[in-house]
Amino acid sequence: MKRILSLAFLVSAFSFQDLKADSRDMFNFEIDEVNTELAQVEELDQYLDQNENVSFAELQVTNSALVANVSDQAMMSPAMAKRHRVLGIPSWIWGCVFGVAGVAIVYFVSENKDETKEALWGCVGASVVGIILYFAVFAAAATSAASTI
Amino acid sequence: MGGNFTFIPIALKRILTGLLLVFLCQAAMAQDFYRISGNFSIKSKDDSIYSLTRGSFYYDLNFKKVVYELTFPEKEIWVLSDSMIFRMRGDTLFEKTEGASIVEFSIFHLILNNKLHDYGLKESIYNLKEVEKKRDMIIYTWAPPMVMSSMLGKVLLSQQDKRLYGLIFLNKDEEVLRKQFFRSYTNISGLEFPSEIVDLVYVEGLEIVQKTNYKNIKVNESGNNAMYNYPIPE
Repeated sequence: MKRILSLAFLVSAFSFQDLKADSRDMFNFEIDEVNTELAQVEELDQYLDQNENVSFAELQVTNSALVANVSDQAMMSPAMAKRHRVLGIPSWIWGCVFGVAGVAIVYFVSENKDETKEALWGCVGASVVGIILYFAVFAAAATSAASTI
Repeated sequence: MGGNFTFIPIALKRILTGLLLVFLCQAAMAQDFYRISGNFSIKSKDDSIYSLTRGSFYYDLNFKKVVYELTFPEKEIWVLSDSMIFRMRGDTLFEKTEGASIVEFSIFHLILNNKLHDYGLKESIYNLKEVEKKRDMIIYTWAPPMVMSSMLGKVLLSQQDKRLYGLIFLNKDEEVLRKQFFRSYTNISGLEFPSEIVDLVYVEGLEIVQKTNYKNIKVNESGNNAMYNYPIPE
């Protein structure tokens, strides 16, 4: 059963790309294209070979070009790209739409601090927008009431 | 005549010595591999965001835990056990994720068990449906059992020089979900290890590119037990 689940996980954790070709051609790929795609992090990797104890945070301060567009999160598997999302919905939407309850759902389901933080920002953002709207509506109503009097 | 009699035992002796040498070599090659460690570097690009993860890995067949000691982007320990992934920073458990058993499909487990060439599919629920020789490759088509064919798709596995070269995971409509390529094999004390793995994953119309490089591979390392059997927090 475990093997079934494992294979199902390996296969179903991803979406798909349409490709119908000869089976040998399906195994064609260009390593040069992959290397070009990853050239920026290759440079960072080589830098770290020479400077092993440098952290991401230190690089951000001192050599930001090397970590531009580089995530500060460890990525062990491509499956992680959507791993933490509760029901596949971005965490900030949970916080934004369901408020504190959304944050709690993300916290308990994903058990991930970064996702919870994202949900919290969604919640805070929605609250700030709500407050601004409230005051804007209140001010507009007050202005129209004053002009009526 | 007498010369012929002496020739035969000498020739026989040479043959026997040769056979003994072959046997000893095979016995040495067939030694049990139970432990593997080394350094890794994982580079990936997901849409426009890059990622680099570096560190060391440890795996022992007796403990069945894949332990990653990350040095970048942050110092962390990851322990992949039977059905859980634990992330620790310092002594603090940072994250605990439940999932399917991924240890048995880790390349470390497959390599130590001499199953990488078929990715362990031979002993899985998948059935071998087709074997084709296409130019320089042998391509095996593995299909899920009928009862699961509405859920799972086929897996295409290719070998070059009897080594695993590529894997293609398809969905039930035969669309590609993921491709993996195993490259630059090195022989470490008789164990074949792909020092580069390229992963192409297709998610929601996007292609995620990932390249993993391994170096400083050690087999059957003595000592360092604490890392191979890293304690999992309660």
